Amino acid sequence: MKKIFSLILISLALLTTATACYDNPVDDDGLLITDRDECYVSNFDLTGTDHLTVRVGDAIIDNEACTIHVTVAYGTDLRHLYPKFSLVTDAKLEPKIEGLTDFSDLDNPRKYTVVSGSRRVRKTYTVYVTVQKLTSQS
Amino acid sequence: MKKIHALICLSLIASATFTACSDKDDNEILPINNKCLKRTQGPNLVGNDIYFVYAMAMPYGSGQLQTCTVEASIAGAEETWLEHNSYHTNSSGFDVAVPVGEPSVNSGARTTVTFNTDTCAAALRYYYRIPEEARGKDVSFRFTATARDGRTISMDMGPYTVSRQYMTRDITLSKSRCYISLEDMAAYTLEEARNIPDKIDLVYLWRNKINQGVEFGHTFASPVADREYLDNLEVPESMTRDLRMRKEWGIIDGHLTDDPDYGTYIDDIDFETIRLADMPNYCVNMKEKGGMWIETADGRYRAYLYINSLRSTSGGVISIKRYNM
Repeated sequence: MKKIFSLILISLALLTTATACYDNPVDDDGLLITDRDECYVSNFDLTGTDHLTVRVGDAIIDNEACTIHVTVAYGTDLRHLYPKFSLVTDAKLEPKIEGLTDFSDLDNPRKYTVVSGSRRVRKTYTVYVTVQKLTSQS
Repeated sequence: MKKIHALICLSLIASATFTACSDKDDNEILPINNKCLKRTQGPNLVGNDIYFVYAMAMPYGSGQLQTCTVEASIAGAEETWLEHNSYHTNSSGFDVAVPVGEPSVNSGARTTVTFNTDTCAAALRYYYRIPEEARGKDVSFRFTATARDGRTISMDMGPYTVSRQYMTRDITLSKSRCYISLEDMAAYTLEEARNIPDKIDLVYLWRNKINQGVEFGHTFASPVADREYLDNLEVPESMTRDLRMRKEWGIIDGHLTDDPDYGTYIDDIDFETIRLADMPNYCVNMKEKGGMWIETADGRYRAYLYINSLRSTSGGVISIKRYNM
């Protein structure tokens, strides 16, 4: 009987040690680093100060060219927009989005880098914003 | 003989015990109890009511109520009153009024109801109409109940800070009545606005530009905004006021909305802390129940303009809260 108890105790001790040794690495942001190398943007949106979308039609995301083309509604104030990215699982975005962002400099479009879950793959996307214009009256 | 003594002793003990057990003193003066609840939520705006329910009661048979008085630290506006009904809730859940006194009388800062029925308990509702003199100040209240035999009890409530905000509800906009003054909290026609160009802070217009590929809809803009956003609206050159506007959705202020009380309010601190620097001077394609923060370019006013309703073409109803900076 004593032998069985000893065996159980040793097994538990081993199990605890094995679990404790398992590595769950996290990055500087406290996010889990995984094995995933996928790195892309799956969806993109821009919202105004009212948190409603200003996008007209779908954003065109080219994951090969790393570009995002988005058209926004007539009258949109480009200086105060919230960009919203949907990324592949475990990926993260740099720089972080921390509030209203100025997209008004159309000659120098904003760039965001997607970093894969493994943190080994990085892709920098350029966001091109176009504002709807009045067309000539039909 | 011993038996008799024992009986007498027992009787005395029993008598003493019964006397000791009775704690009723017919001459004892029982106190009146009272409780008070403040029923209104949100910032206390001048012109609005602060609403309380004051309950007072004494044990049944111990006397009757004579008066109920509320004294405010700042006299309320003349619409201030204390309801002379007491209420109970019926089986359907509705409050049923029972008149218990004479209509209230205001005397300076005091409002009094004199009971004209024999009652030992009542819960009266008090509506303090906030006067202009109280703007930005603290106001407190003393509720007092008095019985016919002179017993009295009081309860203090407050202090409550009265907001510095100005509010005007239900300003009607139309194709012609589209020149808006934050100073006057009113909308004017062009003819009226020509006489007060220095008071016109923004203009309203509705345009259907679907056939030009865009949604222009209900638009608000400063008189000096880009002409593109004023379309062909006539804006005299004498209207030179500019402002900054921040479009909002989902800020439904309990004072401004027509909908059931949301329990959310724009308070003074919101005006003090909102950042409107670099915001545009126009808001295009506004929606019903949306709104906008506004700051005049001279920094004199901040305001929140709430859109209560919009027509499918030109026109609608707005409400404004303004804060003098």
